[in-house]
Amino acid sequence: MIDGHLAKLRFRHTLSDEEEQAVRSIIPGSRQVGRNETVVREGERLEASTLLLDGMMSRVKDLADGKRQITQIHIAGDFVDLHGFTLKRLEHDVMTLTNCTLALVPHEQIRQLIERWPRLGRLYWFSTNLDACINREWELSLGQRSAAERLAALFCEIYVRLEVVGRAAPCFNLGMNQSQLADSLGMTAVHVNRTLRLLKDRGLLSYHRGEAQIHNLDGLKEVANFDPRYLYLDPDPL
Amino acid sequence: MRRLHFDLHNGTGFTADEEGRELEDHEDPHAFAVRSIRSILSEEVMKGLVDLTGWIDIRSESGVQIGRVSFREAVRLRLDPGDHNDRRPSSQA
Repeated sequence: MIDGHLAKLRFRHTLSDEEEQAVRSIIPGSRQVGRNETVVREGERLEASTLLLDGMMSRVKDLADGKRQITQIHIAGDFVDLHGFTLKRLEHDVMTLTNCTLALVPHEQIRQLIERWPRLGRLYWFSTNLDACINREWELSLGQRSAAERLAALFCEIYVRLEVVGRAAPCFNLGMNQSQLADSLGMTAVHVNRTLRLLKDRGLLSYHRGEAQIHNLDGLKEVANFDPRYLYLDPDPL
Repeated sequence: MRRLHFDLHNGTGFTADEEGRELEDHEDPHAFAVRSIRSILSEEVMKGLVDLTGWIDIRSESGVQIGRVSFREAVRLRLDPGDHNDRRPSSQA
């Protein structure tokens, strides 16, 4: 079940058999969680980090008046709250978007792993840096891209990230309703609906009840002015 | 909690709300429609367009129309620097 995670590590860096075995050894048994469940609550003390084995998850921040911003989407293979290893409390919630399979990796196991295997520590440091890269790209979208460009950029990013873990397909389940897309993109759900219709009319993308179908990836990339360099698909060795 | 549909008619054509939106019982569908219109208008303004000819029809899950909010209702216009009584666009139509 951790193939996605290993694929993500291997896509960008080499991984020896011993390192792979060391990673495998800290992954406990998995558990199932339904969609739209809060897995980590803001402020709670963390003794483990969540490895997403299957499904889609999100990081979520709320204002006191109930307004919500989804700040990142996680796909299978992501260590969703690895930053919790050092922070110990998060300033945001972590929620499932779809039915998910998770593994909770105790922080003590992570500490022992990176002390025994310092290079794996660097790979996981890279992983949290990559999360920050994605956050910066989302800031760019929120600040500078139009509605159509934002939506197109989001689907391009998810597609490329699914490619990295060997799960790319023209049709995939993101699990988000239009209100959740709106919370990700700084729009309203009606505005999202209108923009999805425009992308569909152009033959680029269909979206129905959480299921995305990409008809023309190159066209979507063109709309978004998508540049995958922020995903560091070919980084220097560590 | 109830599910309502907000069908959009504006310069880009008709966009049916097939998915619908879940509103809390205390949430005002009219206010929700106004926020939606403002979101769309704000983007169009960035492109240099102010198109107030659209509207949103609000319907229940069973398809009964329960309201209509025009784009004109969602904003007030100040067209003259000396005009401190912001006017509804309909008054200038």
